[in-house]
Amino acid sequence: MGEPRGSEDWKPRANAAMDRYACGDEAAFGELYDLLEPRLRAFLYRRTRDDARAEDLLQQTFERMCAARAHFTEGAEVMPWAFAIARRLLIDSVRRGSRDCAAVGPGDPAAVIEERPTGECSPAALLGSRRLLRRIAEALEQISPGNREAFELVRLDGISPAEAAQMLGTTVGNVRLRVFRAVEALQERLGPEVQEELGELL
Amino acid sequence: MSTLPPDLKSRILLAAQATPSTTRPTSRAYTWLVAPASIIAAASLFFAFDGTEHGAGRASWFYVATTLGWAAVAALSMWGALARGRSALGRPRAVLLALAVATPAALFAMMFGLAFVHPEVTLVHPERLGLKCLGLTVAAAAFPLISLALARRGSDPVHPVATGAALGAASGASSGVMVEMWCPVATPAHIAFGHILPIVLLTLLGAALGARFIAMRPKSKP
Repeated sequence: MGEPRGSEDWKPRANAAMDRYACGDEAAFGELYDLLEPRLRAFLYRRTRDDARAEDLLQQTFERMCAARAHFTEGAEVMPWAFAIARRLLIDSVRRGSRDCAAVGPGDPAAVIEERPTGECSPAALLGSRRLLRRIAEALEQISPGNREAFELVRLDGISPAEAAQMLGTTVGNVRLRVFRAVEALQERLGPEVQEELGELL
Repeated sequence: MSTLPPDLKSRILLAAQATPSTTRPTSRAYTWLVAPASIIAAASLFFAFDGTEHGAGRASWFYVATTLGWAAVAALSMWGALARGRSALGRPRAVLLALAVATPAALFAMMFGLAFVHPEVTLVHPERLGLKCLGLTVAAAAFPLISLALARRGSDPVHPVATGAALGAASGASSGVMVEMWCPVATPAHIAFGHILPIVLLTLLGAALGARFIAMRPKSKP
């Protein structure tokens, strides 16, 4: 199921599928699901550390996308929209007091970055070391939530700074600054040998 | 992250099928219908309250200039509030909030500027406070504002309050065109109370409607 990791042509295909679905092509929703599900699930799992909760939010995200399909702008990118919906539902679920997403759940912290949704050569795959993964995940936990969120959106989820700025309700400059600060903090905590392995991520 | 439950996709597809939704062409048709319906509603109010006769006494150039000025600001404001730009997330929050603030500010600046440069336009009924103008603006804007907020129901995951506020300001400015054609008074106090205050109130109402209706919320579970 889903798009093979490493393929980058899924974005225009997802945008086109969403466009067709917005115009009434019901069959396009299945294709859209296949293209977005791995990314959305990783996005939600990274923030909940709970499979059941991530799946529940995933289902709600697709339902909301379906309900709001008429408002999807023609020719726009579907991924930031889908991520923004998922993020909104996540925030609402936290506000309802179901659970605190900031708290570390029962899952392995290393999985937070292990399931990077895009790119065959994710840093996690390259490293192949649970110990290093744990170190990176712990370093991510230590940076401020605002900087971490911007870093995760831009560097891990592949959202552009402009789109991340809209999702977070701030300016592009502020997103870039938050990512820069997160990278600085990670570099400081991880040491030069890990930095070399992470390359593009930092 | 554990393996995916085998029935997750079919479960989500079934849930999506069961979710009521309209398509983009239907939604666009609805939005376009709001425009003529709003014009008819505003025109009905205009003629119900003496129409052009009520505005008698002011200079023709002032009538034309203010009507065109209000129409231009209202068109710009409505375009800014309704068109979503290239992103599916709509315009940035800062742009929407700027529209909500700039619309009444620009209209007041225009009217104040005209009154300052041509003080003779303020001599027509300077005693009128502007209660009727306030009521008419709110009444004429209520229909487009509520219709547009309902048309966008559950659509904004990012900044529904700013979207609603921009729609409120645009609706107020649009109904203000009709009231401007109807009202001959140009004193700054009357303009501020009768013409600008209702736009501010409609902006606040729009923000409340945005939080209540335009915001995307999780489906309530049975």
